[in-house]
Amino acid sequence: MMKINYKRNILPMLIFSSILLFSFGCYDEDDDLVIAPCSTLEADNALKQAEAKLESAGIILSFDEPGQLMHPEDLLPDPIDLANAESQKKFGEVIEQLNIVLAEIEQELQADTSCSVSDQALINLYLGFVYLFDSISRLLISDDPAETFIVEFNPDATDNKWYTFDVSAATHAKLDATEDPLDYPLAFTAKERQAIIDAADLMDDAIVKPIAPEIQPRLSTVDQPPYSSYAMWHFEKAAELFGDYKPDVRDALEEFNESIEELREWLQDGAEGWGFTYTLPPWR
Amino acid sequence: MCIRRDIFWITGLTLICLLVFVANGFSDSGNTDTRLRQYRAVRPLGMAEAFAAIADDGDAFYYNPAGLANIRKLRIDLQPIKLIPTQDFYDEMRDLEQLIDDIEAINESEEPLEDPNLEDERRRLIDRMERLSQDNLGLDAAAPARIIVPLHVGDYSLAIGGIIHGWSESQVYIRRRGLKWADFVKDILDDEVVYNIMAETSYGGAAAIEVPIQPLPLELSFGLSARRIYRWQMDDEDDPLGIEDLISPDGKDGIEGTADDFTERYFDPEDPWDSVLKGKGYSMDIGTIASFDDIFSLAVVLQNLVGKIEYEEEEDEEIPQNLGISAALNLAKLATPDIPTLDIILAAGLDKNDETWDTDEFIDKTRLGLEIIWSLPSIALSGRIGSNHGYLTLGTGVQLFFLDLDYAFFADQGTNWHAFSLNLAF
Repeated sequence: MMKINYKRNILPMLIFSSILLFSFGCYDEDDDLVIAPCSTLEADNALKQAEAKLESAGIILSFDEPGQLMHPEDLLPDPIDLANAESQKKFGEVIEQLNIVLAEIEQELQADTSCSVSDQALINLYLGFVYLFDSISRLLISDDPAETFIVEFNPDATDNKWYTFDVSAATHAKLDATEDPLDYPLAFTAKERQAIIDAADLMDDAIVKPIAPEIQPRLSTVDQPPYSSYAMWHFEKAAELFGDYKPDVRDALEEFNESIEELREWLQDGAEGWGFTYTLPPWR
Repeated sequence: MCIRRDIFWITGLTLICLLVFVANGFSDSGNTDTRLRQYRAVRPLGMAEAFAAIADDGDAFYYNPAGLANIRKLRIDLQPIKLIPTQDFYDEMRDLEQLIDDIEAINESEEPLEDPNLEDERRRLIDRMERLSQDNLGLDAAAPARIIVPLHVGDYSLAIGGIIHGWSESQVYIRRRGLKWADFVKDILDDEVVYNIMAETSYGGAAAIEVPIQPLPLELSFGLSARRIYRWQMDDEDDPLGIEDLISPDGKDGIEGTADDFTERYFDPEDPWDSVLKGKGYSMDIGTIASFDDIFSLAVVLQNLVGKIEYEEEEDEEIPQNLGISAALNLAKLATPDIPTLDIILAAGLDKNDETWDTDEFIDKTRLGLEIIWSLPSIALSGRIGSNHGYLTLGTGVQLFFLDLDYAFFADQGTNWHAFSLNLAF
């Protein structure tokens, strides 16, 4: 009868089974969750924080499908969503994080020219939006309890005027009743005047001051980090970079930028009409 | 001279464990999964390709030509079916029609990004891309035919063989680049689509000799195989295809007919054959097996000792060399007396590729496999399990008269593969 020496066979099997158990794995998609080329850990982390803060501020800049790249106006929120102080505070933090992202990926682009410009273009688009939202938000939260600044939202506008700006009838009446144009800024509270100065700085890098030297405030509160740039610059940069990616997207963004330019003009015309100087810096 | 069988299993097992533990100590789990354009057979795949010291069938042509000397009778192999798709390939094929319809609709539009009627198609395509970005689509197909003629001269066994086969290997996957956006549409804008499509036909021959080393229970086999290769290849590894190239077929300048056009850099979708690289080449493998009393064997194989593909319009490509050291131990032969219907083969192997010769990487790949074969006169059943550098492999096979049906699950660093083959062995 055949005799099997179990001791001799079981021992190698046990050793082999142990080796197998300790070494097994299947390919898993999580294996790929590493920092991709053309990005850095700092950039990914900063972007994650920026997106989370934007979301907590009630802003979702999300594309459901690539066709939305041709319609950035679809990302514009209702100004009601911007009119709260908590959201406004977060915009500064978002800008700080996005600036980190931009610095990181610009370095990566310099090191590897094969990297796509799409991330750089999108971050600039994001920054343009956040500067714009911050600017609108500051105007809208400056006029409590009375309403001074009116921003209307027309998402279906056929003339690309998605936002229209105005001041309230009461403010118009105050301005009309003021005899000396140098006193026009006094139709606004100090907080509202500060909001005008800051909004113009955020939108346009413009230096805005009441013409009358005794009227305060006279300085922007957003001329220090993280506010190192302004909305128009980022929108234009995004359009330029998308031109290297897909010319059609650049054309769509340039059209969008024209409507933002109208907002900027409204702000400039308004400020100049309300007794402020509106000076663009020499580099503009 | 009497040598106790215990010596074999102790020595064999010690060597196998040493191979595995030494390799685990030196290898880096993050290494690349280098494939040497190697033929892959389903039976070895089930046991992590730890096959060089076994090499007892027609697959010895590629795994270790020295193994041909172990084949004792004339053998003709015809393998009309051998498919090795990745799991993702299998999943994606199930709803391919919808994808083709969507791509056609988008391609036919003059404003593919803006056309409001294509919103659903774009959305479906993005959903699909999101899925594909996690996928690795691969298909390895082959149809080999082999003949092995054994010759016996005194105590020496010789074998000569011929092989002809056609096979193809295709892989497509999306490689992430840039920032990790929460939103997939933004995330994919700078990603790359990497494709590598290769087809090959080859014919070749092999010779092997087995020499008994008296008075030891030791047999040494030496083998050599050489093949002529014809290869057709299309890939974008040097200049990966970006998503931007897909959505801007006229390139960054937006002008049709310039050097940055999709058709100039990659291929003309209407005539892709024109962009296929055509090459001719050769390769040669040598191998040896030291077999102790049919219980334990040790093998050393140098694949692509010489190997080169010469392309008509591109630089020649050296086929990378690979040094493999393997050991196998048949545990069933340790029973006293022998169990003739059962084989329990434990095998291990280490690979070192010359592409990583100059790096700190000491070992490129460790392989560990177990095969259990239960053989009756007209039927043989087998089961396999293995660890391919830490990734699980499984296999099973049925051999019924001249029909040989095998299946293997094979995981590697890139993806999971399923392999099927039907072999007619006479």
